[in-house]
Amino acid sequence: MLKPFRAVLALMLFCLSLPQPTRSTAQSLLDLEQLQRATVQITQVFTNAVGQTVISCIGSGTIVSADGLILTNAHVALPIAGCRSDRIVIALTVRIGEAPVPKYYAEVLSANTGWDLAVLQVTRTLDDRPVDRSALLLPFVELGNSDDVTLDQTVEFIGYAVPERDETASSTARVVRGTISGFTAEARVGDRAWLKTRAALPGSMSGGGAYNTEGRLIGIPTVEPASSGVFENVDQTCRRIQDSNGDERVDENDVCVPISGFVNALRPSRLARGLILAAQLEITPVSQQSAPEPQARSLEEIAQNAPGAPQFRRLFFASGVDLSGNPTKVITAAPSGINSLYLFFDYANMRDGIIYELRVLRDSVLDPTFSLAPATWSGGRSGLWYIGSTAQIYPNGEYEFILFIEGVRIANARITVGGVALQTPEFANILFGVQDLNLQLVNTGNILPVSNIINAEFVYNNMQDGKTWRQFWYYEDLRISEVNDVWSGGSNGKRSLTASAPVDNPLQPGRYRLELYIEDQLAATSDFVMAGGQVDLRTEVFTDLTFASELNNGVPSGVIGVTFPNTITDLYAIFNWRDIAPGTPFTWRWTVDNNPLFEVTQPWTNPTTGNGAWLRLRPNQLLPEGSYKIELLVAGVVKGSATARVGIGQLPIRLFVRAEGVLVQGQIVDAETNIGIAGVTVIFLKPLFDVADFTWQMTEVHDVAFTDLNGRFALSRLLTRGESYSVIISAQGYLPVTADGFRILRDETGPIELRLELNRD
Amino acid sequence: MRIEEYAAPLSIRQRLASYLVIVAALVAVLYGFNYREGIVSATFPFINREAGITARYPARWLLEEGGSRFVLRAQDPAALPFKTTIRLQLIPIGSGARPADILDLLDVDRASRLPAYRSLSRTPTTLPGGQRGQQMIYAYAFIDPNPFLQAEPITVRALDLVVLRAGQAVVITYEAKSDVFEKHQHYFDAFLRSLTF
Repeated sequence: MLKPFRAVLALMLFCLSLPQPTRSTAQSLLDLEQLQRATVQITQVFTNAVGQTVISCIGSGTIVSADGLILTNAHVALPIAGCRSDRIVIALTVRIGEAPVPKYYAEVLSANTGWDLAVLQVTRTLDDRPVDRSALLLPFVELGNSDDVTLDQTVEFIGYAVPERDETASSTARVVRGTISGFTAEARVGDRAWLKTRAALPGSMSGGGAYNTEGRLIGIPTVEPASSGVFENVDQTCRRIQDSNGDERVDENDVCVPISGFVNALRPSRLARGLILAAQLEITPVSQQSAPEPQARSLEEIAQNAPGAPQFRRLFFASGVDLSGNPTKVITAAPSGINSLYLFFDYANMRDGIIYELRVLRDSVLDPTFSLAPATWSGGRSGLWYIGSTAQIYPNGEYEFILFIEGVRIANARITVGGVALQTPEFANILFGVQDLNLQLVNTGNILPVSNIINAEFVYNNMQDGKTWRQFWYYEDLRISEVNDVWSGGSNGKRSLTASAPVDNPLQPGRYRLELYIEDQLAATSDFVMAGGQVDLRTEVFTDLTFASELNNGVPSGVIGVTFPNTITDLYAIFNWRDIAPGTPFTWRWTVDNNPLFEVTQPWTNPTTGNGAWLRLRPNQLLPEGSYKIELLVAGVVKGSATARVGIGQLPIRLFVRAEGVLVQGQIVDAETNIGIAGVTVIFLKPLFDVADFTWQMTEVHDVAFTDLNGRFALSRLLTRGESYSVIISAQGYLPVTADGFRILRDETGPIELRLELNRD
Repeated sequence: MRIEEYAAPLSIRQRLASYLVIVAALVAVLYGFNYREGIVSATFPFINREAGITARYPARWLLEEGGSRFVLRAQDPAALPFKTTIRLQLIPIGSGARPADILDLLDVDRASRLPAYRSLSRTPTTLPGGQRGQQMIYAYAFIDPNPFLQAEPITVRALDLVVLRAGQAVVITYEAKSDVFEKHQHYFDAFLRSLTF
């Protein structure tokens, strides 16, 4: 009598656990548990000479696809700086609030050391067995639009950190709520190169995620370890964990795991889109050009400004930046209420991945709002750089901007903010171009065709006749011309300049600079590049841009043109060029179906003029179908582009299919002991079938799950909203439980947690 | 005090009634036993005309037809904690292949995929239908692939039976948790008896 009663009771309990509409509406869109489960801990390890596994670096990461793609910081995943490694261990958040559990090894599929971002792929289990990507079904997060982020927007930050209340405890996936406090601008990336926050984020959360209220990833908390490890006060910048060299003691000769300071900046998620897409498509870019990296220098050499050591010089401030990354107007003081201020400087002997830092002191006190915590350099070897803040007002005060490289103070500049805007003489908005027949400047920009004449114009305000002003012209940092003059053009307006060279000594292709001074004060400056030749009024740099599936001894072969079958294993973009000086910043950018794929800026290393330069897309197997566009840029200006269509010219739809539905998980327990039952089979039938129709064929099954040691289970396939499912729960020694009509409401957000008691047979 | 009891002799009717109760009870027990046996050993038919294979597999086991991966896989959903499994797959072979070659192939493949894989024994065998082949017994640790569940590795013992037919090797596999391997083997034996190809 008792057993049927218990079975009925169990069934009633099961039905009571069906999702209720009230619960759905009460739930927030932000599923913190899901976000925490998608957050992983990343540990770099290596095997030392005596066969021990040694931990060298630890950080956070975020799973961005069910098949195991993980987004993190490059410094967390790559064996750089103090992170010697031969494998990367991925630990998952199995139970919320507990230490992560190491489960997999991963490999780096794509990385950008300058942006400090990398995408990893889970490849093997810890016992070294290959992972079937298609069967992984890991919890993951979706990327949001980081361009939509607004000032003071509430953000949830998730990453691994030691609990605040117990510094001796293991790291757990920590959720910190904060707001976006500003945006930091940086050359080549733009006004939103960094999102800033005042939330207190431990450095170990670097590589994790920042989420908007919809639970989409909008930024990656990023901070570098304070130095690369071999520096004084090393114990404050790293943690010695183990005897890494096998000499049976832990001392200064052992590996020190770097510790980062607090994170106050996020890389926007838009920078990661291309890396993720490239990893999904398993495509690697190859360039014919390869510039030798500057040799790494010691901190002592940097500090002593030794020849060849990285350096920053010619620091000045500007209130704005033009489209080509040049200052609009040089300023020495700023009025109250200014909300846009940029520090410009020249750099040399740098390389991507070097750690640099900006500390901003206001009235001698560090102001983290305008500072940039240690970050990786992304500007290449040499050029003009800027870093600044937009959208937040600078309080009045005396500001000192101090630049560091690898923790060593390199240069500084000061500016006063306060008072009213003074009507002082100023020059602004230098523009270069080609003069048409009406002597108007056309084809304006910062790239000019090679010729004997340079035309420029600039805006002037508040000038006074009789004031001395000067123009300095530079070619590759060498002053080639100096003009001292007395102003006679009135107070406000636009003025043209022309510089010319004798016919027998023409101007050479390369990087030029114009500096304008009012009396002895730098008032305006702008860099430009002379490259290519003039065709009509255009500047032609690249010609005959074409595609081919093969290249034999520099000659395009295989399929040539713009339409390719979906069986090609390589795609080459081949082009000719004219008058590009070695060292000129050359950018190549691949997109697929208008999605960013790769963008690389490197110094031009080919001869000045030539034919048959190439860039290549190398897929892991076949190049996926899609429309692949190559853009060639000089000094940031597009000077050549073409599109190749592979297959139907559209990316596989599966790439954009996102898991839609509701996760069902829960626990099956023994009704008498209340202890979870291991190995119970939980069968969810397809919506078309009910229990009476079921003939025990897998074709009728939506998903099957088995319970673990604690009786817990989780379906690997999501249930569709608005559908009804039938459920069968079966375990030897227990009365089976079946139920029809398990309905998933249309507004259910999930996950649905079930708890069910089974009675012994 | 002395007490003497005398039982009155049973009438024929009473005696017959007693016998009837005993017989009825026996019949009920036999019926129940048969009914249980009928449920426990009940089978469902499996027919795959394309592969030319018919068999009967235990009723209420989950049947999956895996296309190119396997012809048939039947799993006991009630088995705890590892699901006892019968699987049949076809592998294309060359004219020179022997059953032992196929077992070598399976050995190498499984060693790379299955944790703690160990091949235990190989013996010649004959199917109930008279086909001769080779059988291999092996063991491995089964680990639930869901990384978020707390599951101990389960020691699984398995048996591969390889028989050749024109251009194909028929590989019939039986897997069970090692401590119930022999107890559940009658399912596999019954499956083999019903198998025709």
